[in-house]
Amino acid sequence: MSDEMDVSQFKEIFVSEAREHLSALNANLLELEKNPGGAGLLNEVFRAAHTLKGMAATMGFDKVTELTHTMENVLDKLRSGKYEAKTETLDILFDCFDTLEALLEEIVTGQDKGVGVQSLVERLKAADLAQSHLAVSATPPAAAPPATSDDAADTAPEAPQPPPEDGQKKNESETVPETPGMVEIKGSVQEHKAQTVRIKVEHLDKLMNLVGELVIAKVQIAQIAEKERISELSMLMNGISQFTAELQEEVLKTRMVPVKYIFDRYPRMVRDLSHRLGKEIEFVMSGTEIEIDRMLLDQINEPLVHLLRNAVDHGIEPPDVRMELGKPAGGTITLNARREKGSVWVEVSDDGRGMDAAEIRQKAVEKGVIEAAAAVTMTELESFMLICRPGFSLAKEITDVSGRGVGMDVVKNMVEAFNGKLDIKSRKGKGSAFIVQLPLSLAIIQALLVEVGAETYAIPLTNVGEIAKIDRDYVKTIDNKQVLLLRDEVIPLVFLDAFFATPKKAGVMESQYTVIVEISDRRVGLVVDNMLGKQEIVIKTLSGILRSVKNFSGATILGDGRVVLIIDAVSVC
Amino acid sequence: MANVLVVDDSKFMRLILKNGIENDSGKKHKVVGEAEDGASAVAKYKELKPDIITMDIIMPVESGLQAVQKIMELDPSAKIIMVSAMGQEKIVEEAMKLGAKGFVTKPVKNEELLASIEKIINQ
Repeated sequence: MSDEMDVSQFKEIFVSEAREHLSALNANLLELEKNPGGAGLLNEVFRAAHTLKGMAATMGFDKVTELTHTMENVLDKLRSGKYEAKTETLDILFDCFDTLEALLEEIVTGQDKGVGVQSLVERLKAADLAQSHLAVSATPPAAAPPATSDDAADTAPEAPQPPPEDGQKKNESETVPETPGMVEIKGSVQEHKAQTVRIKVEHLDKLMNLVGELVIAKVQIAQIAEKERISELSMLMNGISQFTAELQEEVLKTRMVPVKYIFDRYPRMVRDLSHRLGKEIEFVMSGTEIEIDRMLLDQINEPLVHLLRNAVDHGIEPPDVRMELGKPAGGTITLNARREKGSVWVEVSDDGRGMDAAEIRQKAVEKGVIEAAAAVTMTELESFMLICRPGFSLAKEITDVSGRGVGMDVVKNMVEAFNGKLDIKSRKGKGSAFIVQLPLSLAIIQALLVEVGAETYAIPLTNVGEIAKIDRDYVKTIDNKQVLLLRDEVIPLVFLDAFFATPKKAGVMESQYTVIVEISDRRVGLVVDNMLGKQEIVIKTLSGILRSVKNFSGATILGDGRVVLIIDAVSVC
Repeated sequence: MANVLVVDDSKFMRLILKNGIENDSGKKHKVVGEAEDGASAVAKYKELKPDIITMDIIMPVESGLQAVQKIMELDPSAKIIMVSAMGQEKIVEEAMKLGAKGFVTKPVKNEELLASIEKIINQ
């Protein structure tokens, strides 16, 4: 069929279905590893490989066809009970899945990155050969002494071309979203296949922007109606207000996707890592149905990958150490998503080593991260947050898993970049929990509107710790810098009117309030003239020549049409 | 002119087959229904009474072979073309014994599939 027909029109459907099969392959094989002997699962795996082969052959994707064909042969023998599913064989199959993923990426991008299948085909054939020797030696496979089978696998011929570097492979499988730039919108009806449309995210962004404009225009009309006392128009506006609010909500909903989309990649990652490090880990996920903004989904992936790697590498102890401590040999890592207080919370926790606040403080002082005097007054949470300071690494030695210079400071920065918040809880010997609070949407946030001189600014509420009225008696100068003494705390102050050089508003004597923002473990007071209140704002990113403007993370348009800049607290403090 | 039921567990393959059957025959034949496993193939056959069926082999719930057996029991005059992969010759042979009328091999060539359909409906 491939000869005369233009198959390119079918490519998208091919890729989307192939990804479904790959995802099922990974999930089923992982399950099989946990519960060996599931013939049903092996049948599923076999069928997925077989279907993929047929599809690839139809499209003329030779590399995919060849690899899936060889996989199918081995899987067929596994499912018929001729061979046993050994870890070595499963490892090869998992490598095959990764390569298939890479091949799919080649197909999507149309770029030949030289992904080879020969080495894997050889490895599969070698495993096949090793097992068939066992089978013909009249020993039932199940009774075969493990030493023999291990030897057989070890003597497998060296692969002519080594599989890609693990780190590189990881990146491919982790950072490539299932369908780049696409959101799948599902209807709630059972037969959801027919109710699903794929839409480019850029269309949704545009729709979102247009709705934002509509809301602003609506407010302007309402103001005219009120000013001119046109009662008919005012009545009409009530209806329009309701529809636009609903429209806005619906458009927001279309951007929401379950966290499952990225969570599904993690069991494989945790499995591979724990195998490499010789650790026994049970990985439990919950709340995978929780939905978040698609753009946010892409942004939380990297920090979560780091947190999970840290949990496997530094959190969970090796089995012998755990046994000595009287813990079960196998550790548990949980990844939980939940919705609470208007936010989505994602938590990575482990029952491993845990951390001690005092030890961390001591280490931070030794490393010169903080002054000894500062260490004394630190709370437990503040102490744990020290591990997010640049230059602070708890790992005794650098492993290739997580001690690669990408530390908790990077994780924290990534989380704060999308207006999230990172918290750490830990008990020495019991384990640690890293909790990421996400905004529900990247597009709409809760913000505090403040007045500085003649200007209005917005400060994201996630950054705001508290608001205090300024008492001039408690403003002191230390080292030429002004600070506020608040309770027993010394808080550095940033006078926003001077900082932004905003013109003074007539009649205002001096700044009244300080908004205390929490950045990392620091608290800094932003001094403002007046508080205007809390409001939900739609973020518009600064683009074009404004893109490189410092101190602002974006802008928003208020109901009256005024443009208000959103303060990027991290860069101001 | 034939009404065809396409049975395959892959949506992509059903699309390819439908395209081949309808567009490459100049709309002479029509795909009247699709099924994604052996059991629903039997149900769809009862419901739609198609002139001809293209039948994949490896499918969930019930295999293509099981479906062939059940459909032939229901209607000994049913016309089934097996769509097989390489290496499934034995299963194809078995299906033919059960009453399947022909087979094509994946990757399916449109002219082969259409020729097979023509031959079987003109028998």
